[in-house]
Amino acid sequence: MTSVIRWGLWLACALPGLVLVWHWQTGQLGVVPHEVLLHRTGRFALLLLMATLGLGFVQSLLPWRPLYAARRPLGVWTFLYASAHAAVWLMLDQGGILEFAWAEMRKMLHVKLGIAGLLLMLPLAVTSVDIAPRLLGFRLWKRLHLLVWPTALVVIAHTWVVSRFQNLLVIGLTLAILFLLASRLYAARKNMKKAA
Amino acid sequence: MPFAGDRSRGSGKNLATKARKQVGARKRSVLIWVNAAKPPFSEGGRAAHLSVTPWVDSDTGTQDRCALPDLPPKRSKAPPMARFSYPTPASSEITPQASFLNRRHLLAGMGAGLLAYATPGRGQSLPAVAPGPFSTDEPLTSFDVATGYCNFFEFGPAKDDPSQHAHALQTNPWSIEIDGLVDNPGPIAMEDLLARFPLEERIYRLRCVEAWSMVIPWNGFALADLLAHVGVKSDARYVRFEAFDDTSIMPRAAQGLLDWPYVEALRLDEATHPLTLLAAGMYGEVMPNQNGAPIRLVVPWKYGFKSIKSIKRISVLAEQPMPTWHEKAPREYGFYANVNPTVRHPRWHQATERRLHDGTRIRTEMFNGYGDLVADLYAGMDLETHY
Repeated sequence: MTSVIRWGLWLACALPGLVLVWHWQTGQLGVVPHEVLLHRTGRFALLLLMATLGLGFVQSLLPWRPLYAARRPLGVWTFLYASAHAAVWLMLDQGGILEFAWAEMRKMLHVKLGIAGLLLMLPLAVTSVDIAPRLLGFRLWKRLHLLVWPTALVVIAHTWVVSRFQNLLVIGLTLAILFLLASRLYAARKNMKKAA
Repeated sequence: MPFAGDRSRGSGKNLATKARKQVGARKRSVLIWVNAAKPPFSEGGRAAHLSVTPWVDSDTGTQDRCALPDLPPKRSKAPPMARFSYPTPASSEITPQASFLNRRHLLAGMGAGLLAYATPGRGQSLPAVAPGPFSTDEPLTSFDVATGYCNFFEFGPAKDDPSQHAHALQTNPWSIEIDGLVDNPGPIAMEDLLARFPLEERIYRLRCVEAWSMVIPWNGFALADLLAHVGVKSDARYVRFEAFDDTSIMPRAAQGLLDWPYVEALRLDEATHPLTLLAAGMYGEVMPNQNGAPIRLVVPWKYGFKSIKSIKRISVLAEQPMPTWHEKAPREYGFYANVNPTVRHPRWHQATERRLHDGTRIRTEMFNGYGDLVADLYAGMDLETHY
């Protein structure tokens, strides 16, 4: 069951990216394809991040073991889409011109937030290999992966800055992240009390 | 009201009935219009017959020229661009006087290679447009990109909203109300404008405040000519423009993105600058709805949002008017909004821009590269404060 979920999820996460590349290469992304690539990769990353966090909440209600296997593919694919998003920005939006990209990085809040989000995710992605928890020790590994929360806050801030209008999706995602964070903090508090 | 451009959507029978009803409605409005046709200015009768003839069928004497043909019971799916097609024959196109005048321009300019854009387009081609001054020789943005990637918030905030929704804009008949500090206030019909002011081709760079740019061959005439024609009074300082405001065809208006109607304004010396254009077409074609049909402003040294689309009213004023974006976010969008790579927008910087047709990113030029023509207008002004 676990491996069915794991591999099924890998495929499910890869599919939107493959479809996107297909549409890009066959000219189905409208008149300015670079912009559509940029927005879609960013959106996929954001939604997968939400799914990763949401899964944690579902697990807390429904501690069904195979669900646990779903978290890693979701997390890894979040990072992959976020990296693709950054690559599209650098190579297509900025035309691969480092001088322009550097100027934007120095000045633009949304670029700073985006890069911060990506850097925060980097250690999580690196330590998502099988042996990492054993090498680091499970406690440390688990603590390290609490970085997903600052990541989520930075990423949602990034989304607010780049949205031209505060649309319902952005507001909804923000509320969802805050709710998940609150529920996580509440659970942690309860655990601490229990331990004490 | 959706018209001929809509007829191919959905099943045949209902639409045929609907279309006939619409034709009825149309006829009535045409009748009223024809009866009321007293062109606001018809010097020497030049424009007089233009407004009257369009829909009068010469054979039957009825005003049935705009009647839709009976629709076949079933039509295959509309070609994707059907939505862009004009609802009724734009009277500017079938106006004998205009084509007569333009034919002369065509003959005059034949050798000047003015048919460079005579590739089969999607809308209605303008009879002929003589090349005008100030044109750049940079590669043009494709018609598809220029008409598929638009900011026209009346029809929604997404770049493809205008191309999907603007077909609902009814541009015929159309007139511009001119008021304020002018000698001859009153409405001017599109036909009269086109008959009086011959269209020129001006290939301008267009720089959006969102840091993208295009190169577009506009077909228009200098706003200065219109202002001279209506006579600007000596105490006038500003010109205010107002776009159409019809919430029934503005699908996103209810979301309260902006206050409608959209308003823009220029200082009088900016408005009368020879670069400033009123465009009734682009790429040798009648202005597509999503680009601001039937007539829009083009101010190439300012960010695109200054170039207001689908103008309904032009007012000449003594006091500085409040443009829509300036009112909504004064820190982000200044009154002048001159293209300026050194003054950044609070959320992004303006030093570079994406050329949409080739995907390259280039440096943004001061005044969008028109500095030698317009920098004098702002001599002694601090452009950091007056952004």
